[in-house]
Amino acid sequence: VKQSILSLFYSALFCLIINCAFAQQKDTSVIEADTVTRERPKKPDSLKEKFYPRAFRIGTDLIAIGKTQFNDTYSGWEGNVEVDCGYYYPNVEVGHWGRSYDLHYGDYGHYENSGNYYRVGMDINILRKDPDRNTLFFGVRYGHSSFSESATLNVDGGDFGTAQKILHNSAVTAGWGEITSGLRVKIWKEFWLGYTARMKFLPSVKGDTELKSFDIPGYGMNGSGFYWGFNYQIFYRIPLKKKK
Amino acid sequence: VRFLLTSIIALLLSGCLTQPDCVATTSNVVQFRFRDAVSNKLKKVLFSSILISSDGTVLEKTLTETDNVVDSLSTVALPVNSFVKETTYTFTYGVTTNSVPSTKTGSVTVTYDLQNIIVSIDCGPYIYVSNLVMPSYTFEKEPKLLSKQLSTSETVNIELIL
Repeated sequence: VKQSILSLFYSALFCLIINCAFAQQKDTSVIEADTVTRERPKKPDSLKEKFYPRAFRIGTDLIAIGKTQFNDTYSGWEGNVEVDCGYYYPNVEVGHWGRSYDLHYGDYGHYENSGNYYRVGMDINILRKDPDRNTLFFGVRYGHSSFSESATLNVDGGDFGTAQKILHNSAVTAGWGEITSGLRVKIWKEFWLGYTARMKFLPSVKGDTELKSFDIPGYGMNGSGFYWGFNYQIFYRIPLKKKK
Repeated sequence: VRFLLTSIIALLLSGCLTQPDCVATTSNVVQFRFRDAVSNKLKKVLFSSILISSDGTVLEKTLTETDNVVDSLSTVALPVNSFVKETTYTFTYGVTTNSVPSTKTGSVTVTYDLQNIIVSIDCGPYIYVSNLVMPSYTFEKEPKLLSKQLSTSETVNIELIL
């Protein structure tokens, strides 16, 4: 719980910093507009609305890197590629995650998993005319994961005593949906920093024969209802040749 | 933008509620009740013994002080062995036929599905028992399977016709 509160505190702090930076950037442009009479030439809206790839943004999740270094229960990474198509940003995310938990300090046993996942989806940018290609977006994803998991459990059988069960799911697959929202803000030259908040739902698991899947790589804890995810990401933008 | 950020932070805070609590709504006990074969009414039964056998282990149901006071049982909850998929219950009970008391024995075997679940890191593992089936019995009349789901409530699973 303490870890969750700290994580949320840092998340909130980061959001505020990004928000302030973004607001400051807008204020500067207003001052410039007041003092300079010559207006920046506007591009026709019809040109901006066209759906064609303007650039790639390739990124990685900083939280996954940090957790791998400082959290004993997690190891993993996540890479992101998104294509700037004007209002729309098709994207692909791939990653690896492994978990290792002692259940209630080991009293109930141990659980671990390892697997790869990908997500494909589309974001819609609602900052339509930002010259720095900053984005504030909403989107959807489909996620898919392939993984294995094993557990050594100390199980209480009531009147029939207790027993240690060694369980293994060797080839589990899972799919789920996500609704996302986030920001990308230009920080320096071709580098953007941002976050993605995810509401994950409807996990569908196959292959968990011995043990109901506890933790799904790319999704989180398996259960009914929603699960939440959050990424801090850094991106490098690779512009493409402008369409004539 | 500020409204959106506030909304996003609120959503993130709600993520604190994703950890389940340790309260189980299911159980590993089968609830029995008894019906008179002649009058077809629910009745109390005086048991000499109730044995629970599974996987080579035999347990005897301990009758509580309350059971001894009323001298008979209207319902009884008996555990299944959640390490294997089959448990047999053997009841030895008293009957009176033409004013002559005697003792009879009958048994019923149940099978079920088992699923190993880790509830949470703090709550640990749990074996979920479901889909109760009654493949065999030795009573004169066939027992009725009323509910396949084991629960912590007073839901009756099997009715014995005695």
